[in-house]
Amino acid sequence: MGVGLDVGTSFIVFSKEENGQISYKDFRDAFYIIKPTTPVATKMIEKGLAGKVFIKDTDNSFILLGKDAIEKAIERNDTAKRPMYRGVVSAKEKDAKKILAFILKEVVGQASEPGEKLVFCIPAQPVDQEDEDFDVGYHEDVIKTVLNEVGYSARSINEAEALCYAELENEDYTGIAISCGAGMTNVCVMLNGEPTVVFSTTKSGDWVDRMSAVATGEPDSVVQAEKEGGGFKIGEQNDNPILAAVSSYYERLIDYTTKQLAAALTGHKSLPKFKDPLTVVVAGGTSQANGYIELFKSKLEENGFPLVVKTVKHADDPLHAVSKGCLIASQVLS
Amino acid sequence: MTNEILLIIILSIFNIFSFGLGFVIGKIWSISGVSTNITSKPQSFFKSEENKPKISIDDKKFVVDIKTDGLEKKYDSLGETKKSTENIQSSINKLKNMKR
Repeated sequence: MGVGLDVGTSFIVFSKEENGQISYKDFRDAFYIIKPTTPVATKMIEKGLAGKVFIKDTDNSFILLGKDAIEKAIERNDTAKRPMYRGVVSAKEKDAKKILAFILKEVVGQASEPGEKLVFCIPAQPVDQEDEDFDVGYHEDVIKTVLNEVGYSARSINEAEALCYAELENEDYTGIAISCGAGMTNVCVMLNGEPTVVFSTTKSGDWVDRMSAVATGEPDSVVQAEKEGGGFKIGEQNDNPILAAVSSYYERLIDYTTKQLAAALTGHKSLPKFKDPLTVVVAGGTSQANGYIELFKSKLEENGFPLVVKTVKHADDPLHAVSKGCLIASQVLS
Repeated sequence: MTNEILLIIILSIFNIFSFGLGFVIGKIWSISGVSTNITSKPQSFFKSEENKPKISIDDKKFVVDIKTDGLEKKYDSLGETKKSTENIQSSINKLKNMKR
């Protein structure tokens, strides 16, 4: 039948069709390692972690996973780690590959039949790349290797292209999809189901967290938890200093992203001559902040976006839209 | 007067004959490749480089075995599941028709 997988910097979302419904399985892409120093401490820590999602490594260290990792990190005034950084497997974390492989295997499970088709998303090459660690090819190979081990025939798709397949059916698959994830913002311009321009930028939700953390002196995990709790609107004053910083950096992020969009598409050789105004669809966890879509729309106009826009709409289910696109792509292949 | 006209005609015929002969000999020489055709556009150094088959080494980072066997699970279930009643069949059919 085919299944879909959104391998995101912040969330891993697996999707499959069951009895005419789509079943989504989400898992927070985070871990936190606790290394006991004595055998007594090992026993005490293990007892204290009862009921949490964690694994025990061969060196007796405990690795908390997902939401529990973030909560434990906040409890210890620390920051949880990520197996991925800016859309690809993290080169900075020594244990990243092993933990990402473990999480992926647990989330997708064994294939229902050998060679079951699975489509997973990968980011596009960034236009503002400054980091040599960004290696999409290697990331893709790592994910394929892991998924092949559990019996899938895995194939990659560009993240924003998958979003087009999920959200642009009524527009005959013509328009622009922007996936605002934690690590990156991915963009795809599509004409009649064919991607014509794809690219990404390396600033998104994590950048907001990092900058707000620096400004307020709080750990990234604390800022992230406050941000996800809501209670702020982009562009409006806030009494909470963390949320005030988050709101301000969100404004700067949207301004930067729309400027990059305008610059990347102006005069692009592969850009088709669209006869009708285009629908722009926005999805991803970062786009869920209150006021994001309104500001994005006004900044597109202000920063000289070169195409005529009919509407800027938010995906119906912003967290699951990319995974849904991967699922659709896998079933088109089947 | 008649002799002068006759001389002019003979010289004109001789000139035309000489020109024709030179033209034919020139053509034969150019076909045999002895002379170069300077009217054709020279090929740029970079253009000629482009036509050569490119040989490159695959320097993509090798994925070594990712072992997860030593990790011991300490939980019952992982992740949250959500069901959605969305119908994706029409999207699949439309895309299949477009991709044909």
